Amino acid sequence: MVLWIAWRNLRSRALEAFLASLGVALAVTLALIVPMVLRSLERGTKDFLQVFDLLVARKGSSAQAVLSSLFLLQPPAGNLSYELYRSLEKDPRTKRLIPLAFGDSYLGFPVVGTNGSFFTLSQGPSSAPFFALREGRIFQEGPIQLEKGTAYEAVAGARVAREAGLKVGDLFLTGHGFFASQEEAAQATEHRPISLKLVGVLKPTGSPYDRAVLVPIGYYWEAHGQGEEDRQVTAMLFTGKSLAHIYQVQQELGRSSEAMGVLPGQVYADLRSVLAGGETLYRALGIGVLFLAASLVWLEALSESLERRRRLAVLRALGGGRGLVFGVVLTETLLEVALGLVGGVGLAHLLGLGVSSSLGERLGFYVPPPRVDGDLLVSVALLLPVALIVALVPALQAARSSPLEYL
Amino acid sequence: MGVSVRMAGAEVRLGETRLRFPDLDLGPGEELVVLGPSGSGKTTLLYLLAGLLRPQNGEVWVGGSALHRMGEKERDVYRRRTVGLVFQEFHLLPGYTAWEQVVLGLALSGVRGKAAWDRARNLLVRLGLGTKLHRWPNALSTGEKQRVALARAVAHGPGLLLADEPTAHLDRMRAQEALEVLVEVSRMTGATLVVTSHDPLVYERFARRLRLEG
Repeated sequence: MVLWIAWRNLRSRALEAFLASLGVALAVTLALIVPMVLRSLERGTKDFLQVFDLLVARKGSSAQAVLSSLFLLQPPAGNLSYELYRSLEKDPRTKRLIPLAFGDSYLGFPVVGTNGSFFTLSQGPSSAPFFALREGRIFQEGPIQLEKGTAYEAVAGARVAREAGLKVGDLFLTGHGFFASQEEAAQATEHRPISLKLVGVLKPTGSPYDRAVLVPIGYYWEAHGQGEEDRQVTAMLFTGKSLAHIYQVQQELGRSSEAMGVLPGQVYADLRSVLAGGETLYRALGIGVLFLAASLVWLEALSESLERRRRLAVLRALGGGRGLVFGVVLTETLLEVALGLVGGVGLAHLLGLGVSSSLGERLGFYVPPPRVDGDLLVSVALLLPVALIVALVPALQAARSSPLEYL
Repeated sequence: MGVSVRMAGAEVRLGETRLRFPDLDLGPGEELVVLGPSGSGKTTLLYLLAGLLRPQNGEVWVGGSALHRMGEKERDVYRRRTVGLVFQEFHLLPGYTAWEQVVLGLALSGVRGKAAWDRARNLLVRLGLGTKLHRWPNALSTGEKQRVALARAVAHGPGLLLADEPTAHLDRMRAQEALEVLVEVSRMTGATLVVTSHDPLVYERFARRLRLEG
């Protein structure tokens, strides 16, 4: 009966109740949205970064190396010499070495020069290849002969194929830098126009490589007129025969002036600790906002209108005891907060979907839909006992007041 | 079933004001009108009989229960079981439909669920409000509001029906009609009826009268 009465009382002051619940909902949304999106970003990047053991890049910032070579977001700091590539390739500790070359694009999508080993990368020794083919086959490393001259083969990421409308068998040109059209690409001066023939399309991986066109590294060297003596690679993906080899190579590279070895997992952990610091700060701010919302509800319950006092007085006059009035006021406040809580979680979820999808679009990789983890839910659900406590004073006040004052 | 009402030497102090009421003896099912000018204590007398107030001196007995000795919790129980109260301003609750107002009265007296909803509907239908069950209070006319308030007061079958100035807001014709409905419902339930008024129409309708001096 208490719930039945409390619900009708809320209905009778729908605007007040709606505004109080909206305040709670917005506070809950504010408290949840950033941690939810950060965690989605983490989930989106964690799986992908597990694919790579050691990234070898030009000496500089390790975060920039990861962002440019693995997330294809920033321009690389510079290139590495072919000698270094050859020496690592011949190193007895090397199990697999994958060259990477960047700088060209096709209709705004990055073109990545690499070798066939790229398609054997996986999250673990017993895992299936991360970059699996949806159709066709992987490229052959050397040039192929077409009726109109020489060409190279290419494999497109799922998103490039979808958005650029590339199909297996299509011929296309790339350019140095970013070109909006094939005509611009053909006129590029730093770049010899060499055709590419699409021979395969990757399955969607949710990684930045969904928007990459993968071509043999030989294509890069030929298109940029690099001979045996002046060949370069932008980065390399190194897999050692053992974990110790990876650390050894990383340390040796660290002593050189040209290159550095970056453990993507380590960069992720560093980034995670920075984000965790930010998240802690944000959660403290979120708790502050939640308390502010609780204070608003408390003030709303405390500054009862004459109408509300009269309604409670009528309940008493009809035979409702002090306990009933106390329970009704408490339940009304709890209902307002509970509705705000549910609305806030829903709103945070909806906003999170929008933000993660837009972030994924901008960053070029799949950001999973955000979810309200148990600890986040507990932190906002604490509002319920807080509301219960703050509603005690107005509930006691209402229960103790004489009905005759308002009849 | 109506209850007997007996008051002897009852005195109430409201701040600086001291109200002393005449002695009263009513048998079960009897009808009484309380007359007097504004401030003479008509409404206070009703609240005394309703158990909303306790006399500082004297005795108030309703159906064999000594109201003057009851604590607050006992008077709450007495009110929901024995009393039906129709306020001068009706005090229909916003946010409750006509039907829900009556169900609330029943729920407070312990009648819940389908039985409450059925009984409330039947009563409202008998009072000519069958088509207004789902109306909010502000969508009811003054006469309709009064009938809903009356239904809320009598739905649980109280032994004592108290009505404060039942014709105060009505024109002559509607006042007559409202009074008839009140008396008819009271007789239908067998309740003892106490009405306050300074309206001659009401005064003339009742054989037993209690006059309070200002």
